[in-house]
Amino acid sequence: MKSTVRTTFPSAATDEAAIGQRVHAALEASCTELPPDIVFRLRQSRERALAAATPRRRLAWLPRLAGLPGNLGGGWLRDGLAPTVGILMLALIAALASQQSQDERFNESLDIDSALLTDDLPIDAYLDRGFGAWLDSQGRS
Amino acid sequence: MRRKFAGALLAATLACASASAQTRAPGWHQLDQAEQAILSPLAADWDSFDAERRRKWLDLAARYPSMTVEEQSRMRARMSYWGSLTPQERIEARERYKRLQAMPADQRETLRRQWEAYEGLSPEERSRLGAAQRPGSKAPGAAAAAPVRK
Repeated sequence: MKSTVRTTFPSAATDEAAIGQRVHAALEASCTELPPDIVFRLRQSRERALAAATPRRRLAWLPRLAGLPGNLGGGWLRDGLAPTVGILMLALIAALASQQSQDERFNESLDIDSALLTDDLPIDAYLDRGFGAWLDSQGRS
Repeated sequence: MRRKFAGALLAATLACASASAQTRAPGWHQLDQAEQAILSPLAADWDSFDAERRRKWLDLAARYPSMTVEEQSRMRARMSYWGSLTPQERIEARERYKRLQAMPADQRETLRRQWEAYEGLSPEERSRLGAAQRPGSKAPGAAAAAPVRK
């Protein structure tokens, strides 16, 4: 069963909308009547195309995370930039966390050094092992 | 190409981080007059200090004007000695000081009097006591709290 597709255009051929509608109708009609082997090959092609596109979709969040547009264009720039930006962001976060931790340790150490240098007990009182032993002996007696 | 690009970016980031960590490590002659005056007990050794140590002394010098006269006097008197200690000795002193921080003021006063009494012992007696106390065992502060604990 085959339908007839009209290929003649109205005299007002400049009406692009009308032409578009007719082309759309023609394609729709012919699409349902494709031979089974062509339908099978089209499905295979579509599946292969989707399989090839999947890895790129998985990385699509990386540029977005970095505030860049999801579509960075083609070629090595897009494929190379997305993981590189991700790695750099992770490295930056790790460096900032490490720096903050170092600063906290430094400030704590600075507070203690300042206190030790100005304390009413001399520094030796905190270093002299004999002092601890003597205090123990005083406590027992 | 891609790996080289990523490697170059990573190296640049790490270089920037390293450079920022190394900032503010001036030599003795780069200090201003006020800093040199406060840190004068360290003048001879200053240029041998690493960047972090210099930064720490500069931060301590920045606190100096807000200290009492007595604290300023103590700090200047102790700077050379503190600077001459080994890193391990400084760590030990800090750890023992931290343990003493929780001690009530009256117990700290007791500890100060006990230190004065200990200083009155003969050098031989103090050496004997020091030899009896194994390294890394009880800290002076921990022992000091015992007699007055309720």
